[in-house]
Amino acid sequence: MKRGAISLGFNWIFVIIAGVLVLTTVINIVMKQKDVNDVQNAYKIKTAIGNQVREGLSPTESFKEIHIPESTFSFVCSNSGVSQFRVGDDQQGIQDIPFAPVFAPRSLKTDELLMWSKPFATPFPMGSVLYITSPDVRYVFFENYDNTDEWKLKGNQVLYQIMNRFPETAKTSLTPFTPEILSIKPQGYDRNVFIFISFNYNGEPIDSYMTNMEAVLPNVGSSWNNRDKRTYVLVLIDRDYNPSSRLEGYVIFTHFLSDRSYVKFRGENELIGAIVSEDAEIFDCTVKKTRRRLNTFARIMKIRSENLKSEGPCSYDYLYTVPIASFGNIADATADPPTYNPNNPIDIFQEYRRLDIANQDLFRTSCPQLY
Amino acid sequence: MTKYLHLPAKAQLQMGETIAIVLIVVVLVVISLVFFVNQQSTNIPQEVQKTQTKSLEATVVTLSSMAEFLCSQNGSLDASCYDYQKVLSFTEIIGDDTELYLLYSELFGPVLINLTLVYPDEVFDLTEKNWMIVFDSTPSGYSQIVRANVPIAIYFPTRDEMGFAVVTIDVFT
Repeated sequence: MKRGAISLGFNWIFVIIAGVLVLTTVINIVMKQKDVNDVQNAYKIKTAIGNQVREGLSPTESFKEIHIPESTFSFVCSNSGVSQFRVGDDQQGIQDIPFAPVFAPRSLKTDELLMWSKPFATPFPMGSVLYITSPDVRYVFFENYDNTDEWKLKGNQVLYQIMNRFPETAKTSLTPFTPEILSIKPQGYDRNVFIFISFNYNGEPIDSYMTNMEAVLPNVGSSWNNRDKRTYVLVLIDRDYNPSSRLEGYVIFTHFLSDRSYVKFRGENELIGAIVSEDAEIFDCTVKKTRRRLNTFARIMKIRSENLKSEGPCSYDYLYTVPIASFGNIADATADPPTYNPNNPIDIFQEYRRLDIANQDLFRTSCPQLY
Repeated sequence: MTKYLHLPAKAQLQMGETIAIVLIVVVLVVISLVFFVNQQSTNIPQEVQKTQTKSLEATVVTLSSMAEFLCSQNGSLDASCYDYQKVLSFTEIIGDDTELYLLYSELFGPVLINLTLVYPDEVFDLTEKNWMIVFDSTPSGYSQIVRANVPIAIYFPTRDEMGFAVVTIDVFT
């Protein structure tokens, strides 16, 4: 080998080493910057959700839309402790939700979040329920296909009422029911949620619907077995429902034929929560949180009313007797487990009506109001 | 072996240049790293301060949204007014219910929330002093405290009177 060749060889080795060093440094910087961006995004999203949750502590109606780089979200509702909304896998993206009730799907992959809140359906101002979803989830509502015009009309009224409660930017659609429609693929959406609204005409136990769901949703056939990202939500409204009464009934969730669960809903807020959460476990957990907040509030208001009765300026102190009993009953009914006599169940909505009347009476007599 | 190491003068010069360049590059990288590390360490206290301020702001917002404390009239809340009887009932319930106390601790974080009466200039009904602890989740060990004083109106329903108070919020880290 010639002497010049050795010198040239060393030059190349140095050039290669220097090149590798420079490349590694550049790649490292880029990767680190990407990590920093991911963390910043996760933090930004987490902060936005945190702010919305805090706003949701007051009884306000709000709506927020957040545009973000595409991320994966997961929601964990904890019955006893703190629920969490997670952005990606990073620890910076974990938003703790101590006790605010949040209805959200178990997982989401999206670049846009829709968050809206609705005040609790209580006569006294207490707080709000927060809903989180995305335009990447398509909610397909099916027109009611009941046999009689009367039921069809009632079913469709509820359907429009519920559809209108979704924000405008949520992807909702209304379509007549045909078996073919169930073959819809997600087509650019993260998934489809198919919603059927019907009535429990015969007052049958919910278990009979669970075992014979095909009878409720005829001609579904093999599409039940499609295991792509879809949820079927069957809403069964109590047969006694009329527009002036409270919306109550059951929601059955299924992702495919063998996987079914159901929940009982009371009121519009809970029904929307069931549709948005798409999951019996998350629904039950969130409702439990709502009841815990209601329980705390009822206990506070009971003590306050007792103090007003014994020490207050009102010469009609007996006006606080009914509210003390009503707040006590609400606290008993929402305790975990409930502490009332099962033979004498408490109707919370009846208590709400009593409180409303008492509050008006206190206002008329110029006494300090309950709320 | 000896033959390979005995390089001509020109080749030795070229190798020397290359080594010098590599050394300069290494020195520059080391200087950049030192600068970066220094910069990062000077940012840490600022970040801590920022986080503390954000926690404090979040607690203030939370407190001004909580129906558990706020005055209400005809079904509407007033975010700038505390109902004394509600606050008193809240402290009573929290004192008896550990599970509930822990939930509110998660909501507020490590804080001490005090309410000091400014007007009327007299003691509170039950506590016989002009201030009361609304919520206390002071950690056993902490390095820093940030404080906010929020002036509020206060309503005494049992006397049907309004007053003026200051809510002091200490956030610990």
